[in-house]
Amino acid sequence: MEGSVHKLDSDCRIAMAKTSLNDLPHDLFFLVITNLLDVFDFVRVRATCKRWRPLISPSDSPRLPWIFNRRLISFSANLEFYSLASGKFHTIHVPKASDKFLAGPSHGYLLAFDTRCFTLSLINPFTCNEIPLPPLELKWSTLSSYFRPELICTGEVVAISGFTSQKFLILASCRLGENKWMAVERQVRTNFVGRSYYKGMFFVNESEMGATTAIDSTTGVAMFSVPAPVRQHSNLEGSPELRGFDYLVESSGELLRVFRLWGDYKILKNAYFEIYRLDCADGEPRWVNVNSIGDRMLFLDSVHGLSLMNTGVQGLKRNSIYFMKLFNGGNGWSKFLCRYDIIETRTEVLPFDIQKLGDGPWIVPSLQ
Amino acid sequence: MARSSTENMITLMSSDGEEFMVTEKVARECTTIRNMLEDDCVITNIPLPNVTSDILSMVIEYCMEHVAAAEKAAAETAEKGSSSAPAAAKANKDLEEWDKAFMNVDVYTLCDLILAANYLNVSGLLDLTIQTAANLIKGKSPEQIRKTFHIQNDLSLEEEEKIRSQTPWAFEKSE
Repeated sequence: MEGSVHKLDSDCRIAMAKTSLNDLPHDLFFLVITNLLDVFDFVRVRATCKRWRPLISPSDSPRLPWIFNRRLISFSANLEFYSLASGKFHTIHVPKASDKFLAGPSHGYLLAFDTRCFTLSLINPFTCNEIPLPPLELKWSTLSSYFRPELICTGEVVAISGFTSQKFLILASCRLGENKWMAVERQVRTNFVGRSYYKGMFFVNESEMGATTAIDSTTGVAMFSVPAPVRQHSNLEGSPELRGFDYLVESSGELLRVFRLWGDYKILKNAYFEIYRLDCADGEPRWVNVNSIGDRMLFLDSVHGLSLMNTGVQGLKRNSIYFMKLFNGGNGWSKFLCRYDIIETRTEVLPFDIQKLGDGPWIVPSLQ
Repeated sequence: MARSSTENMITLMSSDGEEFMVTEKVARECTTIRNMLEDDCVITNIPLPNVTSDILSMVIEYCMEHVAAAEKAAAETAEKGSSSAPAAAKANKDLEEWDKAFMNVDVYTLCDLILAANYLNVSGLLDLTIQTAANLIKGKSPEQIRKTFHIQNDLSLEEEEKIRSQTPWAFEKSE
């Protein structure tokens, strides 16, 4: 009996002999969908037919990050993004983004600062959804006109930072749904100082590769200081100063400090990174050098970073740092997207034409 | 390529009754068959009621090509003591080209190959076919996707309008 049913089944299949994407079992159909790396393709495939729509949830949208081409002069409602998946610029019209300075990096939502009303909100440019944030109580009249807040954490808690003057950095956090920011002001030495929000605290690097201060985000009290890391290569050739980009990045439950040396613009292929992990064991916080970040990948702009897990996304490499590099080989400046392999300590120039791009930030498109 | 005559031959039978004689090595490329052989080593005739003869012949062609490539690489390594990186890179590239040409099929055949690769558990072929199907979607509008895969548009005008209004940027004519 069993056998005859089976035979009938296969006979039917031969008679039809036309299997389409529609006839694939859900798991195989879903495999095809997870190989779409661009959120554009993902949205379009969801709009193809009724049957597919419930099979593909917006939460399954591709995790390949885009670069937001930050608008510096006029804050128009047309936002330009660069998609790594398609190697193309895409413009998205977001009416709510008009007259607003947008900052990341982020998973989906960008921080929007209204430069006329001084109000703050979170905007998802892919869904046009806007989440209002409480007003930041600052003396706007005394603020320099270039106050531009940046996003340092999103989720249940939103944390931002921004310079209120050349030397003063404001750090503020608020729980989504609450109507008040908890703000701390901090004197710093440069505008490139790494800062992050981690486990309810603000972390601020005092100077490049200097000590790091941890500040309680609810009380503003400095909790502890993490001594400057023990440098791995203190006698690096040709760069006695050891100046560079000094990032703090929250990454899979850890706080990472990533240092990228400046002054390597004459050599295209050789970037220099050092990575440290915050270790709070024994009650003595310290930076511990790490030689691998495993399946993680870091995406850095000029001040901030984003950490992603490599879930086998095609074209992306685990244990790598993605960053933009300026190069001047004697024929003027040009810009390249590079990937630094942490294990092999090797820099690779990726074949993307990003001359038109600013310095980011990175954003992982979200349809939620 | 000379094969030792003592090599075990296995007969695979398609759903429409056609028989294919392959070496055990080629058959073992299908994890499903490998598991059967490991459970019962004297088995020589395997019916595959879920795969038609035209699709099975393609799966066998794929497995033979990949076995031959692996054998060639192993022989070169044995001969020279170590594999030379440029030669290995060239071999890889040749196999990639072969895969690409192999995937020059209509969408119905492609979907049948996905089912067969999944059923027989040929991971390389499954990856290749899934990736090819995804590539056929990339850069296309919903209309073009429907046309490519022969899918009927069962959305009403209102439903389509509503979907488009949620993310209008995805439906504008690309530059």
